[in-house]
Amino acid sequence: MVDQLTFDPRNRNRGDSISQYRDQRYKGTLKEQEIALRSSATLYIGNLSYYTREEQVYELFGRGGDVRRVIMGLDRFRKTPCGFCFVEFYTRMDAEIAMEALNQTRLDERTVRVDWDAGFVEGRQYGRGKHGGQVRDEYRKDYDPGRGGWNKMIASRGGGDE
Amino acid sequence: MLRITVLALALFGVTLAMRDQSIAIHGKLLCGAKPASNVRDDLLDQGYTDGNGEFNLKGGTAELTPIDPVFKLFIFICDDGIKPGMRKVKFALPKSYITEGQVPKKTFDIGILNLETIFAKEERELIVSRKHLKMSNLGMRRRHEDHDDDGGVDAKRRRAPPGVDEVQRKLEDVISRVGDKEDGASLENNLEKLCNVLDQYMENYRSNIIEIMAGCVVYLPEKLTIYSTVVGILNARNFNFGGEIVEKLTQILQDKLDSGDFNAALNVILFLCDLGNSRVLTLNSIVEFIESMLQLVFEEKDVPQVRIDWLIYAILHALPWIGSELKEKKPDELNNILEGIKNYIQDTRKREYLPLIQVWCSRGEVTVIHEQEDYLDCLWAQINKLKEDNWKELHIPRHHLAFESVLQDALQHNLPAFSAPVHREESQYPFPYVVFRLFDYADCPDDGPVLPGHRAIERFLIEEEIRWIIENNGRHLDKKSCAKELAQYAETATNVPIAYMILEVVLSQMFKLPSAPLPQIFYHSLLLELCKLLPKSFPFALAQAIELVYQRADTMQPIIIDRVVDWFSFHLSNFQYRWSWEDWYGSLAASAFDPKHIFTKEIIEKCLRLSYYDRLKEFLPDNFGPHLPPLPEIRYTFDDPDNEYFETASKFSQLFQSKATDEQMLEALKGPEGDYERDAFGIFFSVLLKLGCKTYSHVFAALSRYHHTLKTVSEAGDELQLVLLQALYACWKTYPQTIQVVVDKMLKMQVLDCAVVFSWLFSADMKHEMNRQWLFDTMNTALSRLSRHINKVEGEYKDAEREFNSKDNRIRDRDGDEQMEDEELFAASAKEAARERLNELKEKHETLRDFQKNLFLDIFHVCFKSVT
Repeated sequence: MVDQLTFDPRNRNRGDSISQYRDQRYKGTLKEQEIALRSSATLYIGNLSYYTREEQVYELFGRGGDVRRVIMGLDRFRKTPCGFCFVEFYTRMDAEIAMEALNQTRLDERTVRVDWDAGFVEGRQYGRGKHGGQVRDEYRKDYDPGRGGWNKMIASRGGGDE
Repeated sequence: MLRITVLALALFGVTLAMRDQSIAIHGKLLCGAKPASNVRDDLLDQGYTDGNGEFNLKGGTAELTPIDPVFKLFIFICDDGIKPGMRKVKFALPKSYITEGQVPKKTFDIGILNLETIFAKEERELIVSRKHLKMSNLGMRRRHEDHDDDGGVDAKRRRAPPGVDEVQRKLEDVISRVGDKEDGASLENNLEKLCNVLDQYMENYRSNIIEIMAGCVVYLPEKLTIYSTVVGILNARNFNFGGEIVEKLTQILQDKLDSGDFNAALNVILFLCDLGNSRVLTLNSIVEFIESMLQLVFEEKDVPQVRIDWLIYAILHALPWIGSELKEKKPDELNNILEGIKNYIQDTRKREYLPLIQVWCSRGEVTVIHEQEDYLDCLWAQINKLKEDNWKELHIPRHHLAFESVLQDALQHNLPAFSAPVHREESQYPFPYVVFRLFDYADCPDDGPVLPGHRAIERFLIEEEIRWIIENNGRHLDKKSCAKELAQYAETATNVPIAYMILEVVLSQMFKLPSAPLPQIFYHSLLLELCKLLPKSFPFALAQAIELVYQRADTMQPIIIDRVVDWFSFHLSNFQYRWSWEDWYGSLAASAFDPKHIFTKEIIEKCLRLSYYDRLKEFLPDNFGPHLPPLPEIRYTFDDPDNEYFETASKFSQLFQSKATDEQMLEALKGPEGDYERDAFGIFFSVLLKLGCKTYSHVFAALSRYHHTLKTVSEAGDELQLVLLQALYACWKTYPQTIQVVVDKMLKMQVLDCAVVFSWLFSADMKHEMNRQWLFDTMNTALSRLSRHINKVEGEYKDAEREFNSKDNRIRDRDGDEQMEDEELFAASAKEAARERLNELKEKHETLRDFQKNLFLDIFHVCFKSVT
């Protein structure tokens, strides 16, 4: 799509579309991870509501291109959605379109965070927090009804959770 | 007058068998009658002339194959005594002068060269330092690429002396940002400042400056007159620079035409024409340039109309910039040009395609509000209006006027005539389009500025600038910077209702037929960004646009209604579904095939898909209750003991639960005669859907688990595939998204055949669904997946062809060389493998093409049948 021969002023200050986040449990060298991130057709979608269903993800991300599969993130213990998912496209190009267009848009009235993912491996669908869901739900300070109310640490201190 | 000469002897070889080879060269350089002087001796293969202009160079290398000696001459010339430029001339030396051993035994005498000669293939090159020079020139033609894994960019960066990148970045920055934000200073001041900075770097960074400037011409056309003025000032100070940039741009023009990037090519043409205003190019040569384009229009026979249309479009597009100047100084030529265009547009051009690409079309008694005019006809009318107005337009900022005193004495260059690459069968040209209009001046706020009329050239010029910003940001899919630039543009365009104009242009791109230049979702998210950045004006214009589209749905092409539905449902999902739904209540009572009814119903359907049923009930007004879509859930009746198929369904249910194998399943599907039973197959599939009804992942898992069963049975006959589709529809008719997703999956798994799906979609059974978007979406998805697949195979096929041909040449190249036999054998077998792959892909490609062709025929057939 982009011709490399002619200098394009708009290429100058374009940031990297790959964020600072690196999966610490990635099996492989840092370099391999970089290459995987730069060639993968898989996106990580964050800040979903626990109530968002797979079909909604298909509908929204299907508008970016041809979706191969959606893997909903699950609570390790309860096996219920815990607010993230992976979307795998058939091509990198489609994933790029979805990434650029849908990052920071809303799904179930929440601003979703879209990031590149090095590719789904079995096991990654489970939350890594102590409580079974995502770690970020143990640190946030706000009350979030879409993600189980107060953060899990406060909630469990209150005696309601684990 | 000549200052320094740098000579370089470069040797290139192919590594095959190591041996020492060398060559020496002697000669004398003159500049006019004087010896070319200023000497410093340097490297083995690089040197300078002595006081008499004489030089001796020798070079040797340990290479494995015969070397290619090249003698390069780098000449610093003084054009005006202040700004040295750099010429580069290359001579290939006869190989007979190469001798074995490290010390050359023969010297090639090149004789006396007068450097006033202009060499046919002279190049210009920037040389930063001697070190850089040596590295880059020797590296440039290395036949074997280094296979170091940090790639070319890093390698280059490492070689360059420190600071080069920094200066390059600074130059990129100052050049591409000029005119963006006036920090109190006037634009004229900023332009002057820029020219002074560039002057400073002209000596050492000349080619960088030219590259950057050319990139800005191609990709920042909205600042065209800023750059033409800068080039004008620089040309007035330094005649050669002007010539070099024109040369570079004509080269880019050819490249872009060759590669089919017509947007970029057009921008270069506009710029070159505007260089007539800033006194870089002679008006004569610009007239000749335009005439040479027009000549092609009348000379070329048997080429597609779109090719000729583009030439006419490019000329007309340039006239707002240069028309006034031509009118004043070349009135006769201008009239001739216009006469020629008129002949083509009025007499030759055909417009049969027009109804196919119009967004609105009159239906019966309902007529369209806005004429959706062909783009060339519209521009032609606007240019005629401009001519009537004596070529005075109010939009293009004529920055060159402020520098009239500097520019008037500048020496001018001649623009070479236009030449287009020959038309080939595979050449692609821009499609024609209609000028999309939604708003009238009366639609915009009364207390705001007035919308320029349909025929005003200002309307065209502003729309083009908006389109440029969208498309050039869209290349990077960068919605954020696109919206930001549009918002900045909106700040400066205070004399028009700019929010309305931006929105109209975005919609015109989105609604372009047959397809939009960028992915639909890019426009959708761009509109969201614009609502955020222009909160005072944009959301209102947008709401008004949707209302107008709703009012005019009767005359809108159905496919465009579908696009609006997709866009607006997404838009609403980002704004809590807040909308004046009440206004659309009336349409719900209308007939099911009424366009307004379809419009409202489908938007509700798509909002449901993006949210959930209870949310839908929340945001829709209470009186919408009876018109809500049915609750999306699976309809499964075989678990009712009274159902006649209860027994069969229980049997399959048990088989699934006991994880039966494909063989067991296939056995269970067979009737007493040993063939597959349709009823059983339908129930089997319904049970599968029921078991997987929780999420798509469940369905997909079940589908892939019993892929073999499904494929085996459905290959036994089209009617068995039809059974699958009917069962799917019976289960999920309340939720078409599932039908779409499952059909798409089964097409990919090759359980279903496209043709069967299409004949089912348009069968009598489905007639009651003909007003539904999902039905057409299903078809379009299948078709676009197929053409993508074909394009992919075509790409592979072309690659294989190239690969095969290159192998062919390599073998031929080696003829006559002393070659080891097994290497030849190896090459031959590699070639054979490439041939096989090529044939395989060729066959696959042809099969797919035929398949696609037949499929289209099938679609026409079923559509025809369902209409009659």
